[in-house]
Amino acid sequence: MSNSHLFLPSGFPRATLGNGIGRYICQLKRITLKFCKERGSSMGMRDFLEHDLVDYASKHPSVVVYVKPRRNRSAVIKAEYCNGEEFWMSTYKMTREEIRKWLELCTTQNDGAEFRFRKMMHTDTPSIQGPWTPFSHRNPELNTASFPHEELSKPVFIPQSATDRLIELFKEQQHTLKSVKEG
Amino acid sequence: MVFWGSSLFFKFNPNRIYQPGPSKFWRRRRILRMSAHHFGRRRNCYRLALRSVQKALVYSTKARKLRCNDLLKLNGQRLASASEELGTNIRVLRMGLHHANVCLDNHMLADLSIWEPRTFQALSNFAWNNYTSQGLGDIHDLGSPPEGVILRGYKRQ
Amino acid sequence: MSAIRRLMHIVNPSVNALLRKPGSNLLNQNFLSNNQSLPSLTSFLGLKTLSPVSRAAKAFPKTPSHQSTVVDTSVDDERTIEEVISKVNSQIENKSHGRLFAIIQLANRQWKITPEDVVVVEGHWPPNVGDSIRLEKVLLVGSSDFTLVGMPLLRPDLVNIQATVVEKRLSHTKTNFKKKRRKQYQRINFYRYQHTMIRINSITLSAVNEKKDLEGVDGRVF
Repeated sequence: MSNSHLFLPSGFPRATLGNGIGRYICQLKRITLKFCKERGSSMGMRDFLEHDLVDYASKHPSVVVYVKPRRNRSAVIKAEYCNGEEFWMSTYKMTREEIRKWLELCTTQNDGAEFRFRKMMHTDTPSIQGPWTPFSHRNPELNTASFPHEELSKPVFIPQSATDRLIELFKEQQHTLKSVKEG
Repeated sequence: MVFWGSSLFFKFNPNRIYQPGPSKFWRRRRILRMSAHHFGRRRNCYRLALRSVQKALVYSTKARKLRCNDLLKLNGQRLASASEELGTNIRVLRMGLHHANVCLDNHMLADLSIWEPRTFQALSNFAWNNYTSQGLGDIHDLGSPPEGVILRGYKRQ
Repeated sequence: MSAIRRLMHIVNPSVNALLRKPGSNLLNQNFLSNNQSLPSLTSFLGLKTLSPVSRAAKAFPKTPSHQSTVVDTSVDDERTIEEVISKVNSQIENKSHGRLFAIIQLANRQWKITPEDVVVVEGHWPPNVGDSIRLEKVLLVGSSDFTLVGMPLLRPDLVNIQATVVEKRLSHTKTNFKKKRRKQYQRINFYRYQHTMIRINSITLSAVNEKKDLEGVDGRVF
């Protein structure tokens, strides 16, 4: 989607409460699985509950799993996270494998919000040496210079004058003569 | 005990024509949600909104490649101004680093020039010296060399 | 500390150590002495900014047409190098370098990272949630006073960057929409990438320039 529409909030990546600085803590608190005992749309959910649920629950002991049979309603998973966010998903006509994968996603997420990242990174300390300022690469002696200053008042670019060139040529000539004499 | 709910009175009606997919209301709503922030009648009138939303989606698809080009240009500009402040130019910086096998990309170099100016100055000085000592290009317009660099006789294979 | 700040950088020798020749450096090797105070006014890079105009004003030093003595600075160079490296090593030993930043290559992108920051990797990436990872492709490590630049990478026994995988989720739904007007051609495609969020835990350095018996092996299994 174009990013500026109103229903897709955007922000920067944050891990809740500094997750990972110490140890990793699973952010999923509670999973509620609702299904119908008769209807065909819940068949995948029923299969999942029969075969994979106990494995899932034992693998993630920090997650509380509620299973709610509800007549004449389609199968649904609802996940609740530590920051209060909720993730609701209809598993209407999903297979057991699909439900297992969605449940795994719920477990590895930090919250259920669909969110657009503006940058793929977040730092609290973007600069260690101090960010660039116009004075970063300038001589700090400028701070204590008193004006008028002879050195600073000179023009920045002075092309070589004819006199300078002649002096240069003369010096070279002298050197050459000297080396010829010595050599 | 029998629970009498409305579901017990539901009966499948074979005479009703069940249309596939969402009804007109929901189809239009899908588009109007996306045009909610557009200007004027384009956000409320379906026909105009449809065209507007399609245009917006096409722009957002095409812009992904354009963004890469924009960032390249931006980083290039930043590096050029940063290296010119330090007395070199971007060509010297890039070639000097490339020929020393330093594989930092434009984005990273630009970030260093903004957030870590001393590191950037060091890299720039090194690149200058590498460029001139290895004879990678014309040196007459480069001015005097930066101080404080020792190259240790490194030469790229 | 201020001296180290101005002795800019260390060029980390690459694996091609055999090609290092002593003192083959020509040009003006003015490098700053290692005294504690800032050098004097006139000798230090000029009072004006190093703009291209001021640099170009004194064009690249012309090789003189007559004989002149070439100053061999190799002995001084070696001494300076040793001093710089020992200063860096002492900072590393005492861990007085402060916060370090590193530039790493990860998932076909380069990132500038410090400890405690969060990076999101887009695309299929195997590491699972809760895994502790070592980031090996380090291009550059820097602190307030020194920088170590790899050519192209720094040795793994020099730098150690640890990270933890914190989250694995799907991106927001992205759309690919193509339309050719007046040709009844229109395609829409929805996709979601996997996002893995990692938290950088630490960046640790070991001493620079320790002589190894074998170069190029770097503790790897072949």
